[in-house]
Amino acid sequence: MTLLNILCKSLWNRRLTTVLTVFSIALSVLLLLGIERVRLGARESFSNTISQTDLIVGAKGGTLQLLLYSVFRLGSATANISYDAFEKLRSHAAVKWVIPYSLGDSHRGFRVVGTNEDFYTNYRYRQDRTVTFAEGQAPTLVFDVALGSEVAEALKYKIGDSVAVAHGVMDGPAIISHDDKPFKVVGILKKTGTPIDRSLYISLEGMEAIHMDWSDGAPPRRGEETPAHSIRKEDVKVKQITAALVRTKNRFETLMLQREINTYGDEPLMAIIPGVALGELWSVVSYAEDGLRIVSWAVLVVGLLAMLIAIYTSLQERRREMAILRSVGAGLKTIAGLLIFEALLLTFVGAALGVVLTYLVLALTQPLIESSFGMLIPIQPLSPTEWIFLSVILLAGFLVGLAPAVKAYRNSLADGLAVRFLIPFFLLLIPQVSEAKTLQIASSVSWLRELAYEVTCGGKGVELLPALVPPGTDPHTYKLTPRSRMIWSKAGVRLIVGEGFESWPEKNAGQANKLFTATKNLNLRTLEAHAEGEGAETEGRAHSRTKATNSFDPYIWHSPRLTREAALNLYNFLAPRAPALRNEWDTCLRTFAQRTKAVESAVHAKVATIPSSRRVLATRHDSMGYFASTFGLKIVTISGVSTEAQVTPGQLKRAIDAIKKSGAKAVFAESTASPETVQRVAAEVGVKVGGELFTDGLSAPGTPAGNITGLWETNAETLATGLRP
Amino acid sequence: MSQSDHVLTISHLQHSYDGRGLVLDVPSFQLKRGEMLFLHGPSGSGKTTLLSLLTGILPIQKGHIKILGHALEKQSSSERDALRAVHMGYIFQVFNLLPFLSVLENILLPVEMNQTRAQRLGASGSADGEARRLAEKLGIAHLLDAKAGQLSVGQQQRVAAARALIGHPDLIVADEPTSALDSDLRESFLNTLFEQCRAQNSSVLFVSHDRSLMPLFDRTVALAEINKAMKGAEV
Repeated sequence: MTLLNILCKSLWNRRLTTVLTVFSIALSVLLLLGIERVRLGARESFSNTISQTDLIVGAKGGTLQLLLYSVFRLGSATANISYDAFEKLRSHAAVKWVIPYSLGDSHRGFRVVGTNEDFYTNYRYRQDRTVTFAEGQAPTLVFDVALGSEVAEALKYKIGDSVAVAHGVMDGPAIISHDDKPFKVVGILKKTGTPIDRSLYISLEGMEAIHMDWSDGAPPRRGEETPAHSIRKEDVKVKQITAALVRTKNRFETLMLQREINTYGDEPLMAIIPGVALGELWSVVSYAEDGLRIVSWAVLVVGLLAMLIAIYTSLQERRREMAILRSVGAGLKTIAGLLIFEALLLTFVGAALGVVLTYLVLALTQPLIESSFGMLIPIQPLSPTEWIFLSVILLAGFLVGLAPAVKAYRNSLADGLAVRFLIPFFLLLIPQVSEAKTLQIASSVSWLRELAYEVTCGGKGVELLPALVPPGTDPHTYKLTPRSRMIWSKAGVRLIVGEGFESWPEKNAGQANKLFTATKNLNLRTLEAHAEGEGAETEGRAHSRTKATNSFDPYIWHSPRLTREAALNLYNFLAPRAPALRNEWDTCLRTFAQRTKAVESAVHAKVATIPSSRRVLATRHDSMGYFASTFGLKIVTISGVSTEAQVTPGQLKRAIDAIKKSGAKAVFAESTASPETVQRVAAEVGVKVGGELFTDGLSAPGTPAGNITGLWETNAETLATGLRP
Repeated sequence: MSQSDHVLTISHLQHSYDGRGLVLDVPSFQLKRGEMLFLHGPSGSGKTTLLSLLTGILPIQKGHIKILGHALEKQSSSERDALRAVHMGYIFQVFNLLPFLSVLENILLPVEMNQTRAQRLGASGSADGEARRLAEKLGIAHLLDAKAGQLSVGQQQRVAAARALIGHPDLIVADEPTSALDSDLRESFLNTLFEQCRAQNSSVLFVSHDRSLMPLFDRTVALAEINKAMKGAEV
């Protein structure tokens, strides 16, 4: 059982995704090859519209024009060729056969071609196919007509129907009609898939006959026409034709004859080689070909992206697989190699399947495509171009495999052998939820956990889950970890500060009646009102988070009064959930309130040791507002409330000015923010850094600022030490 | 006691992520050959980091870890991978097995992945025979042909134990392997594991937060005591 074996079984385990991925690649390859084949088929069919004709002869004019009117029945000739010249050509030593075309008239939008029996015997298209009849036979009489298959189909003509030829080429009903000499349908041609299908074929004599009695391009007057029944084929003398298709005896003579015709002295003639002219015409429309190519490559890119997405998304669920393989000794390179190999394998199988599908589809649809579009798509081995396509696809598969390999490499480094993220929530929740008879209380910050600790007499009858934001972490930039999300989701009640203090969106998850918001129903300090009173920092204020919706100061732990009120609110919130403990908790709440009052007095006494002129609190962010107002300090801040806000040079300058003006004797750093700004300001103003304040919450449990009252004492001590002369 | 009697020796090991304070700071720690050690490590005590370091998954930033005389800090990542493959067996908390392989194939993984490990099969000689012997001892012989994904959690942990034990590794590292088991299953699982480890003289480093298992071990160490950087560790 090798790694390859493991890979195969792993793929089999994910067989639906695997099959879909392989299929999407196979379909892309099918489309790419299919379009390539159709493109070649179209080109082939185009250049095979006419075969075995070595030269097309017409009156001097444009090369393309001659090709268009003689082969594609588009546009019209400007001049004709005399029948004499045609006769000479026919009897030329180098010529094997000649097919005359006499053009210029139409029937309901379809061209009428005057020709002779040579057309039915000698004309070739698509290598060596001849024109054959589905019904009836070739015209023999002057007023006989044979119809191309499309004409018969579109106009629903049958053998024996009568057809009037219009003079000139027009789409609708004839303006000038040769209705005095109607034609009788004697034959209907088989479909060829070439412009042959879109014409009516009469004899050269018939063409001449309908123009009998005409003079100077105008029809004879009514009653003066020669009656049709009196015209016999032998009597009609053909005077001119429009073009001639020439087959020479060998290739060398083709060129000789072409030069001879082009320099023919008696009348201006021109001979073109159809293959060359068709090539020129095709190059005109080649942008359509390029368009097809672009589409098929785009499809391939989509197919490869689908594979990338499939492998990439499967990585998450396969982290376990990777961790297990690593634990039994697989190196990072092995893991990366495994993923690249997987991508290559899927691409290879997809490409191979795509090739098989291409041939299958071709074999099935070839007759259908040929009959409905007149396009023969050859079934042949893969061309060099197609091999290049397939190599490019495999290379792309390799490149696509690199991305998940790099990702897995990184995952593996980060995860190590830890698979905790693989444990579905329900597995962790089920035993704990079923065991949980006591109320579990989750808190966003440790201050709330402490508050709950005090209110519940040290966690009596409840389980206090760890606070989500670890002590010493900036709560503004905190992101939930999977573990903290789990704690939050399993808790019976959840405590948050509110007023936008918690920025993670999951804070409100679950039922609203399980959520306690500490700032609710408190008389909070308005940030704007406070700011107006301060002066310098008013304009410089930049709290991105609190600007629009939250205008109240959430830092209530700095206020002994608000702390007591929040404790009472929390008691009222928790007590109904534990009626038996109500009285006990009530006692603890009162004790706690007494203790806070005692500490409050002590802090007042401590602040009193600072000379009143020096009671200026300068710090980086405006979170000590409650503390300042409670204990009579003046506040100057460097930036707004949020620590996320970057301090601009302008703000900094204003703050420095304000600090100078206020007479602050020290600037204070914060426990959760980098001290650089503060050090800079202190240096600019020429005062000292007074120490580190705990602004965003409690410090780690067991440290002096690790509990509610200790926070006040510690900050007061820091301030007193920093500000006293 | 000489160095060679130690399977694992850690000295002055320190680790931090992105330079943001130490997660791990272990001045000294040893594990003797054949010793069954209970390492009490609640989440946040640096447990994951320690295990990743001593299994050679994470490169050592500072300090020394010696596994059977090999200094990990001096080895390349592929050398550490090889060391893990040959000398260690690892049991995860849950989801130890590749669900699409049979039980037998799962047990054989370490031997298939590493030739040297395959040469340490012991008395029974063949990998297959050794896997069957271990399965017999661990009471999962009747499950060998079952798909790993169909087993109960308890059975899966036994298969994981068999896989960790195959090829006589010198050190079995078990990361909370019993936390998903019922309490009566825990003891029987541990007893079976110990029995096999004693039989092949493998040391066990068993990490758990469940102190009730402590009495079953030779020695108990609290990670919080040996890790001076416990505060501010990962949550």
